[in-house]
Amino acid sequence: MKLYGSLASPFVARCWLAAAAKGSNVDLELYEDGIKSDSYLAMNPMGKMPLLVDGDVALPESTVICEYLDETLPGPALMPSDPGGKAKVRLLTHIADLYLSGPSSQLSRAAPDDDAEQIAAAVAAADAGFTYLEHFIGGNGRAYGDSLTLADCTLQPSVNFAVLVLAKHGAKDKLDGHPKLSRWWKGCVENPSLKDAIGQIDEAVLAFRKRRAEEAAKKAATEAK
Amino acid sequence: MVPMKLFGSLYSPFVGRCWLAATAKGGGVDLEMFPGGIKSDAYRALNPMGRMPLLVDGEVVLPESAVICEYLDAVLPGPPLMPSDAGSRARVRLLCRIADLYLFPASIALLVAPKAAPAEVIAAPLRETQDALNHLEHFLGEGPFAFGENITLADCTLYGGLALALMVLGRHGVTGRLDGRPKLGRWWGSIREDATLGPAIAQIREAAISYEKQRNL
Repeated sequence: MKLYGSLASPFVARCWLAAAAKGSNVDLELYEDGIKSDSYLAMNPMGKMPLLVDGDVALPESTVICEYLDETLPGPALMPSDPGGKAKVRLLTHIADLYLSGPSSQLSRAAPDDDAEQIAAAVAAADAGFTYLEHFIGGNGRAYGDSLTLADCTLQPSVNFAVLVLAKHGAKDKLDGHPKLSRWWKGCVENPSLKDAIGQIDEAVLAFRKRRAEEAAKKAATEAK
Repeated sequence: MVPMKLFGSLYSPFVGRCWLAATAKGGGVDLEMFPGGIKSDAYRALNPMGRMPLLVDGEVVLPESAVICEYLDAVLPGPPLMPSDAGSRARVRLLCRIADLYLFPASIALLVAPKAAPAEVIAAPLRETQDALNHLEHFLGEGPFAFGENITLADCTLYGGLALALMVLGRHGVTGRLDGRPKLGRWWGSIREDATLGPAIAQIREAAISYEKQRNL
């Protein structure tokens, strides 16, 4: 299988973690002509990463890809076997997608000196997202139950991204005051199945942020001239 | 078996979607308004997001319509609303996802925009609603259903999404809303006539119409 995208994207990273949790390898590549090219848009008209290609199946949308990987790759099941447990795992991912990712992206795009009211609203929305996650996440260092699930894989990059962009806007560490989330975070980054993959993701995020900072500095220098 | 309780009102497309899923399974869900309302402490203790719907099935308490729908499909008797192979399941989930991530947010932004909102305020959600319809057109099956030969959760999800999108686009003066989207057009024509979903869709439409009247939308 081929997973197109960069690990600097939390949506690509969650698929990468799902594959790692399965103990499997998917090939990770950047799409050669870019995600706005006609050939990419023909497979994924949303023009976003990731895209999974598995033979005839071309799948966009990370949440959909994660369930597909769990169902088709060998390795441990990343969904509980009972419908109630499955629902709880999907709920956590859904909360990240609907309540945390939106404000995080907004904060990622915004410069610290942008409209203060809009930034404050996005920070408050991300805060609410953390509160919802704290409500539903498991209390024993796993997102749900006693073993790894897709929720661990989807939440780690999303929470990481949210914490990073909130810090950029001067907000304190958002995991403080959320004891279950804090315990989960520790359990997640120390998990032997995920550890290496998380390290790779962290490196990609660092490199991306460095590149962005250099580009911004260059632009500022050009404008100053 | 004690029937499950679905808290919410059918004018919400998110409640409507669960209602359609329950209908397609052959029933087994009681629809009720939450006593005290969705902003009450008792509701928020169960669903801190403070939105409808909420499903209560014994010890299982579930917010979020997409999650509820897959749960209903798994636990209710009746025909499966998800295909049996992984690739097809992914396609059904993808259609639901496109509705949740692109169509609903853009349509709701248009819905809550004041009628007299300046063009530049509505330009982005207007474009995003049209884009989302194009994405759906791209991934929709050839009919009569959203994917494959049977009702799936995608049909249950898309009905409310499309109804809302068409309504808000119409409000903003867009005509020929399904032009150039033959698959969506065909699906929209047939889904409301479907023997199983049709009556529940009529019920949902009635609830939406009386809500709009009441709110003067």
